[in-house]
Amino acid sequence: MYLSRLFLNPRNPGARRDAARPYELHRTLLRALEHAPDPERLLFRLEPERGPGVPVVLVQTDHTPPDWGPLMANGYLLRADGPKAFEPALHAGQRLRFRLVANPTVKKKVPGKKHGARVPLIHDGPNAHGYPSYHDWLRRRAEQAGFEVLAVQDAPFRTAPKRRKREVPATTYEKTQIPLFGVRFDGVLRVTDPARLAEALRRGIGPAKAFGFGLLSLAPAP
Amino acid sequence: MKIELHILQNFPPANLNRDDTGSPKDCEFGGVRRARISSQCRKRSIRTSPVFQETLGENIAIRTKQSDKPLAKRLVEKHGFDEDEARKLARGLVGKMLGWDEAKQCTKVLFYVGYDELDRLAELIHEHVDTLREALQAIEALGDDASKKEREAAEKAYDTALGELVKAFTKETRDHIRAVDIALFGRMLAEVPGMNIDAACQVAHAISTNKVDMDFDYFTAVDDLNPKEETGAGMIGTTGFNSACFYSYALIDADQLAANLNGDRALAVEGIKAFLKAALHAIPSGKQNSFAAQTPPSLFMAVVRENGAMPWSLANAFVEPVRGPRREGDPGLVEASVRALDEHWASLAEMYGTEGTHCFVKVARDVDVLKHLAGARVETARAVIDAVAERLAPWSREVAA
Repeated sequence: MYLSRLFLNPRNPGARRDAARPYELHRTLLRALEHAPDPERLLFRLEPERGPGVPVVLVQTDHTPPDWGPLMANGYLLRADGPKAFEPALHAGQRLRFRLVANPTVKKKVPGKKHGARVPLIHDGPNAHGYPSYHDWLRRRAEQAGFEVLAVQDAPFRTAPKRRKREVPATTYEKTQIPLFGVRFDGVLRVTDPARLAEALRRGIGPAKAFGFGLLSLAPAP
Repeated sequence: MKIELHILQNFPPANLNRDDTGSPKDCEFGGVRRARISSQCRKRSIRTSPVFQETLGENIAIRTKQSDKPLAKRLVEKHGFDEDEARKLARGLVGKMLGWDEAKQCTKVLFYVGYDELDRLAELIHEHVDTLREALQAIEALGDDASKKEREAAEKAYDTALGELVKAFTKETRDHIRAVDIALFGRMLAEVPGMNIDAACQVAHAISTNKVDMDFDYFTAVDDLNPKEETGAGMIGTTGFNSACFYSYALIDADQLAANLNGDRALAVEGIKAFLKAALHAIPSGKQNSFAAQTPPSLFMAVVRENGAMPWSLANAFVEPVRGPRREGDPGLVEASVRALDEHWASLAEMYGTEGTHCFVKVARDVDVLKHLAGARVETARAVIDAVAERLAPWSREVAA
């Protein structure tokens, strides 16, 4: 796997636009993989801002090291660290710090439609609608991904404001926004199945990976 | 009479108070993350600070599961019991109160007890020694051939005798509180509710005036997980820490304190002085071996509120997080915090008035930008405490109504 850290240039209009719109950001980032022999998916995440100004993006690819040259050349990036190869040595029982910006949703069947709808799990506990909370979602995903959550801090957010009342016609801006619900999970986990965790690390967790969700990051625990 | 305490204290990187994952405690305030030191942690560092103990001498309490030992010692030294009997009676009594753990040879729960109370317990045993001794000897006189019934009856008699003693002690427990820390922080004993004492002081969680970054660099961190790099350097940077300027607030109810001390107002004033002094010097001990964050407060303020005046926590001075300098010429974090506190005080004073309020403050010289509180300035931190004591002097001479 390859990890890169990008510092977007706030003076670049494209970079400013992308920092607010994950769909556009994904499109731009894919340009670093144009040279790839076979098509590859990338995982990325906009990191929480440290101080004003410079948006930081973490990008992970599986087998192709991305080439940040073109984006550097046109002034889109201020700086690019990496790509740096990494293959973490995981073992059962290990305690690790983690961060996951996820899109916790469940699929709901809609009569007459083949794919149904995705319902965002916006509750942090039991709720009147009977949907699982996003903590339940994380626990279930963790189990599938070979780890156990020991402690977690959650920060829910939306990438775009919810549509106003339906009677009011949507503005052009609103029409082009994709309202996505996300939760940033920061916490400590314990590895239960190293092989599965390595796989989850490689593939990401949960839906909406092209919108900057699902990249799992690990670090030694305190 | 109520006494408020306000402190601003800036710490270099440290981990003074940890949560269950080992990271520094935090919370949200005004919509942003703040570093936090819990009130339990602050109280403990005050209670156990050498200053507190030196100032109050014997008038403090111990928190122990082995209260039988000092009690037995008193029986031997003051009342001439022989050691074996003293140990048995002491264990019997504290065991009756709190439950006795045979395996660990200690009481089942911690006993927060003052030296005066121990003295009184020893006296009580001495007064009732005849009944107790008789019951104890009755048990010991039983041979191996004694029936179960006989044994139970003897043990029950001893238990009842001890129970009477506990009852007598509980009834008069309030007359024997000389331990200022129990009177200040209160006591909760689920086993003997009669011995509960209401706290006379309220301590807020200290929160940072600035926003703290609980952020972590995952790009660099993966190096430590790569198999080749097992060089031991992986330890560096894995301990959570933060640097923050903390605002701490506490409130002492002098009347409640005096009531807890059996009406002794002079001792209550001594207790308040000791509390202020300890709060000034006490620093939590968390991770100090790795960080040595021993920076004294930059602002120390005490406010005496006469009866009827409402106490003010100034936490809302920092609801908009204070920022460190962003460009040249901006005030530093501590200076900006002092300014925010000063401004907030002025706005509260304008809104609610300051009748019956006496304020004393000392700010470190390099960050002294007080405007509204300028009139309350005193020369040293010590002078703040002395001024409070002076202000309380007429009150302490009054006889409690």
